[in-house]
Amino acid sequence: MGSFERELALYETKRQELIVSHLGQYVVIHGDTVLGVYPNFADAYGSGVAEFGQEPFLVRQISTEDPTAQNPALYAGIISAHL
Amino acid sequence: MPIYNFRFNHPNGGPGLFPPGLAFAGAFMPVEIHVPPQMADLLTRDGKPVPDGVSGVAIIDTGATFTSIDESILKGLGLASVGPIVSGTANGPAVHQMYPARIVFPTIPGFDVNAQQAVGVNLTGQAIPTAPKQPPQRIVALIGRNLLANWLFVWNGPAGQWSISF
Repeated sequence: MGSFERELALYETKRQELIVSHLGQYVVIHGDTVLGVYPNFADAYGSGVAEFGQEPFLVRQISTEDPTAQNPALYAGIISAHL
Repeated sequence: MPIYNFRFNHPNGGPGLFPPGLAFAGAFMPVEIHVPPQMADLLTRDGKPVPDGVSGVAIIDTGATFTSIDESILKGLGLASVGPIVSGTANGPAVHQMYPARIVFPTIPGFDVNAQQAVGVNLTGQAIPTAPKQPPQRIVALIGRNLLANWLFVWNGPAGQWSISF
């Protein structure tokens, strides 16, 4: 679970056209299938669950750049300072 | 627009507020982590039990781009990742998984965040003292800017209180 190699590869092939048509929206991909594009994460996730149930599926916000997470407090050890 | 105030009272029961409490503990509040309603509906329809939510404390972390939730909780609820995300860590970039989650705020009636994306992280052993003479409470989530984007958040250090509105 969690590699999403096929889904991410398919997303890359579709990315430019999705950026033009649906920038900022959310695409749902399962295997080699693009389920659809949705205006927000909740709608995208709900559609994925309705179609694929408990099977893993990719939900990706359509963007020119891949998402990154920054959490300095957690990774610099501030949160883990034992109080 | 309702406004919810959280304040630190004096630890010895004395009068007035206790500003050092806010400086020490930060802006925290009780939360429950649940499966999103879409998944709960699916489980119910399939005749499967919907797992109980997991209670703990969330800290507001304005330095975090995304809200983070202890990954062991998310996996324990049976949730599957909806994709990887690259995180900046002290040791360089690392891949984490994003999960859907419902975050309930039990002290704020009627308020919860449904099907929001959260980064699965290891918060094992993280706890914070939330009241005098009480055992530290387990930290289960760090509320990041993807949720704060929808809230009004006020930190009043001199008064030892903070507020949110949404």
